[in-house]
Amino acid sequence: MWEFFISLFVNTLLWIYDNIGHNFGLAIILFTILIRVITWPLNASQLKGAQAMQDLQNDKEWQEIQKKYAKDREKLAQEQMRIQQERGINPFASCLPTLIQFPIIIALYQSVIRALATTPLGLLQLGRSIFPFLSIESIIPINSKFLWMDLGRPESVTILGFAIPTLAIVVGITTYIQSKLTMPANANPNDQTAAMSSSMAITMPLMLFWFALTFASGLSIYFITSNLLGIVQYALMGRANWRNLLPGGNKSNTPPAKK
Amino acid sequence: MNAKRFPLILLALAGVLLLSACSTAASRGSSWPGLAADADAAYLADGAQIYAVRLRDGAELWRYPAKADAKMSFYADPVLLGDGRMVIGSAGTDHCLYLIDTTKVAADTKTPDANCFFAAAQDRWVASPLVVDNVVYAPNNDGTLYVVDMATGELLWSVEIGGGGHLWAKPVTDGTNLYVSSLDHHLYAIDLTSHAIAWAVDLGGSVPNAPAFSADGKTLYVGSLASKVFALNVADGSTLWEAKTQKWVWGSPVVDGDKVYAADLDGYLYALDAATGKVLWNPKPADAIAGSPLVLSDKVIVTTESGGIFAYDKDGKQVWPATIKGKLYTPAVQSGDLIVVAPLATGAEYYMTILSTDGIVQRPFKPQ
Repeated sequence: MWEFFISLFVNTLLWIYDNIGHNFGLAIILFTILIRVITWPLNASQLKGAQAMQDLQNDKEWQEIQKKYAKDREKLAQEQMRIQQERGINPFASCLPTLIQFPIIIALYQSVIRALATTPLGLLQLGRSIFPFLSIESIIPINSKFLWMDLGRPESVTILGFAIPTLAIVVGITTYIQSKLTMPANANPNDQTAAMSSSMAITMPLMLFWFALTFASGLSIYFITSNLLGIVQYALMGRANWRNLLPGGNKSNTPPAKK
Repeated sequence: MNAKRFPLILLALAGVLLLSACSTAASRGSSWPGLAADADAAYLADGAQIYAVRLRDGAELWRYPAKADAKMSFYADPVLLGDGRMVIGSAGTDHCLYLIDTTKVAADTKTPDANCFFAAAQDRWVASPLVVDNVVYAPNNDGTLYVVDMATGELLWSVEIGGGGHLWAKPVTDGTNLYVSSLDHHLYAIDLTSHAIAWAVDLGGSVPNAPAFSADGKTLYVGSLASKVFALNVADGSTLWEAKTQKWVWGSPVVDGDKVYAADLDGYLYALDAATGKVLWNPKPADAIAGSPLVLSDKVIVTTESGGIFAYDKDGKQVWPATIKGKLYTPAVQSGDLIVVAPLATGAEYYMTILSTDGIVQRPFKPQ
C-alpha cells in the first residue's frame, strides 16, 4: 500500500517534470500545489472545526461545567465530550491539518530521493516504479539542479566563509507564520485548543527547520510552498489572525478560570 | 512532559526515523558492492568499509577504514594496480579518491595504509577510475572527468562532459582517446592530447556501463538503458549495428573473440555476433541480470537478482546453476579456478561467497 503511494507520487512528480521542460524544482512546487488543492476541503473543514472549538470556550454551558466539575476531572471530561458531540465539534481539529502533512512529507521525501536516483540501486528501483505511460528512458537522469540548489542534498549558501542554511531558515519562518496565523486571537490559557496550537507554533517550525537542515533541499521546496499556500488559504477563508504576528498580539483578554 | 505535546513529539520522532531510514550514506545496502580479485585475495567495497579476504581460506586480511566513518562509502569496484596497491573513490561526502597500500597493514588494527590523494570533485565517486602509468582518469558524479597525478594528487586536467552530471562507468582508452559513458545518454570520446571531446554519440538512454573494445580495437560495444547494445566505430562514433534487448542493459558487454556477451534486466543473456549484432543465442536463466557476464575460457557466467549464478558453455547450453541467499547485482569476478560473488546487503546471509568454476560453493565470508 505504502509502496503504491510512493509510486503514485513518483510518477506524478515525473509526469509534471516531463511536461514542464525537465525542471524538478518547479515540478515539486506544482506537485505541492496539487496536494494542497486535493487537501483543500479537508483543511477548510478542519479550520472551521478549530474555530468552533475556539467559540466553545466562550459558551456559557461550557464555562458552567468547568466550574461545576472543577474537582472531578473525569466527570468534566465526560461532560465536555457530550457537549462536543452534541455540537459536532472535533477537539483535535486544529492539529489535524498539520498532522496530516506527516505521511505526505515522508512520502514526498522518499519520492524525491527515489526520483533523483543518486545510486545505481536507486536508479534500478526508479525504473521499476514507473508506470507505462512515462518514457523513463528519456526522462532520466533527472536534472536535480534548481536555482542555486541541488535538490537531492541539503542546501546552504556560503556567505563570508559561513555556510548559511537559507532554505531551512525560510522553512522555519514560514512554518512559524502559518502556525501563528491559525492561533486564536483571544486565547484563553485554559483553552485546550489554544494550548495545542501554541505548542504546535513552537514545535513545528523547529522540527521542520531541522528536517530542512538535514534532508534533501527538494523537501524544503515542498515545505515553503506548502506553508505559503496554507497562509493564502487561511487568508482567503478569513481565518488568518495577522495580529498574532505582532509582539503580544495573541495575549489573552479572557481571565484564566479558577482551578 | 506536557501530555498534550506527547503525541506531537511521538509523531515527529516517527517522521525523523522514517526520513532517516532512507537517507543513509555510509551504510550497507545503499547500493550493491564493488568487487575485485587478484591471485590471493578478493576485495569487497561494501558501503561503509572495504574488506580484503584471502581466497584459500576465507580469512579477513584487513578492512578499511578500521571503523565505519559516516563520511566514507565505497561501492565502486576497487582498481588493483598489480603491485599491492589499489585505487578507489568514495561515494560518501568526503569525495575522496583513496590510494590504499595493501602491503602495509598495521598489525594492531589490521588496517592498510591509505591516503586521500584527491578530494576536489564536487560530488561522489560511483565509477571506478582508470589508472595508466600513475595517472588516474576518474569520472565523477558531478559530470566531470578528473585526470590526476596519483603520486602528488595534482589535478593535471579535467573535462566537464556530462550534461547534468552522473558519470557512473569506468573509462576505457586506446591510447588516442578516452571513452567515457554518461547517464546523459551519451558515450564521449575525449582526445588525450587536446583534452577536447573528439566525438559524442547519443545512445537513446542513460549509459551506466563501460564500453568494451573489439579484439582489433576498431569497434566499441556498449549497452544503454534504451534497451540496446551498440557497436560503434572507434574513429568517429558512428553506429555499425545495434541489437535490441528486452529491457535495460546495465552491465558492460564483454567481447570474446567473434562474440559479444551482454545481459539485460529482463534476465536474458545475449551472445551476439560481434560483426553483425545477430543474436546467436539468448537464454533466460532466471530474473534480472544487472552485472556484466563473466567470460572464462570455456564458459560464460551470469549472476541474477534472485541470487542465481548460472554458467553456460560457449554454445549457449547451461552447464550448471548455483544459488546463494541475497540479490546479486555485482558481476562475478574470477581468480584462477575460483569465482567470487557479492550480494546486496539487504536480505543476504554472507558478504561474499567463493565458488569453484564448477559452481561448488567453497566458502562464504562474513566479517567477525
